[in-house]
Amino acid sequence: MSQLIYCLAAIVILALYGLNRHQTQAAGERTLISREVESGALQVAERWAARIKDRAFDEADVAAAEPRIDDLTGLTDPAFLGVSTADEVLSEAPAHGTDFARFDDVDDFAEVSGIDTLWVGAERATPLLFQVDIDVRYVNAATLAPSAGTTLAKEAVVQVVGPLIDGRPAARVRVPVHTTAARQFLHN
Amino acid sequence: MTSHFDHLAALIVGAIILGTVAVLQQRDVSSTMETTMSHAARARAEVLLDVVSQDAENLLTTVQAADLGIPHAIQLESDGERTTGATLTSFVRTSPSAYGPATVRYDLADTGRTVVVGQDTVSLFRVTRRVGTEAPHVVGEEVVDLDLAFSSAGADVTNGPPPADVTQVRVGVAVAAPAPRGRASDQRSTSETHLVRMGTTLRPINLPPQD
Repeated sequence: MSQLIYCLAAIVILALYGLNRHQTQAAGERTLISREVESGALQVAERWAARIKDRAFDEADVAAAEPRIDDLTGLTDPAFLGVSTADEVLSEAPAHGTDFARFDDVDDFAEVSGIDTLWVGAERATPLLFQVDIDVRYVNAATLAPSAGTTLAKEAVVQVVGPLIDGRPAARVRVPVHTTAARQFLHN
Repeated sequence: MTSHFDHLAALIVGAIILGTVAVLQQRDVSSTMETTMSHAARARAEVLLDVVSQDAENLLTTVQAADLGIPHAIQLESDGERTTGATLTSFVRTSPSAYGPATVRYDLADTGRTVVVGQDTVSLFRVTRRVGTEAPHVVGEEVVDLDLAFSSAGADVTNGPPPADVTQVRVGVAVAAPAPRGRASDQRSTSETHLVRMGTTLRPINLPPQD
């Protein structure tokens, strides 16, 4: 009788050990998958960051002949950053917020919010969907602190949130892009 | 009689426990190997991505490349699925102590080996990098995909010189991490954890080509 009790105890201990090992392995597997998704989210964020760096500093600087050094004249009012600025909506971005190819300055991206797809897998045939949200604001060029008025520096924050795994996002990446009028003139 | 049954039950349960412990141990070893291989593949992918990205970021202008007798500072070759070759004229480290302009040639060569990723069997490639007339050296092993493209306002361009309006270069690499053989059938994974894919989008200062 005593042997049977020992056997039962051994089975219980083994079951607990097995479940624990399985949990550890599953956590490791989840980490690998999360890392892959994070890498994907970063790729998407860098793609948007490259697009932002590619545009003029401000609507007033599009096709400008000289870089803006210390003049704030004509800069978009902070309250009107984004494609909703009257002239841009009408003349440049009819597909409001999605037709980024037609954006011509940094703050056109201020209202970008939508789904971007990254193709992964050996044949690049598996889609990973990410929610992309971009926020643009003026910042103090020296301290990068948010500014209520116009300045010669803007900060675009690209936030990419990955697909849900176990009910929560597998990845959340925030990439700040700092631009200045002079730098954007060189790039553009 | 009861004592005989007890001994028999203990023997059977003991054997089952030993067997189960052995299986758990074997799975543990497989899992550890898989994690290690994945880390190794990630390290290889990072190195390859870094090398290609650095050359793409340091592109020469069209005039500087022309001085070296090269019409385009960057030129891509693709078979429609992946980049098979690329020629970049760029500032590179030409010796341990010096940088200078040089033509860098990347080639993707099929190794003849394959690997199973998820449900697909894919070929493994080797990426070589040759600076100027030096002998090529391997910068990427067990590469499944190399993806270089000019990103412009329209569709991405994967072949030839950069279009006039191009401003960005997309670089992507995928490196395989072979999983251990003989995994239990219930552990057969279809996730992409055996394939490490990394990429970035660059904005080289000399694109579009400047005079």
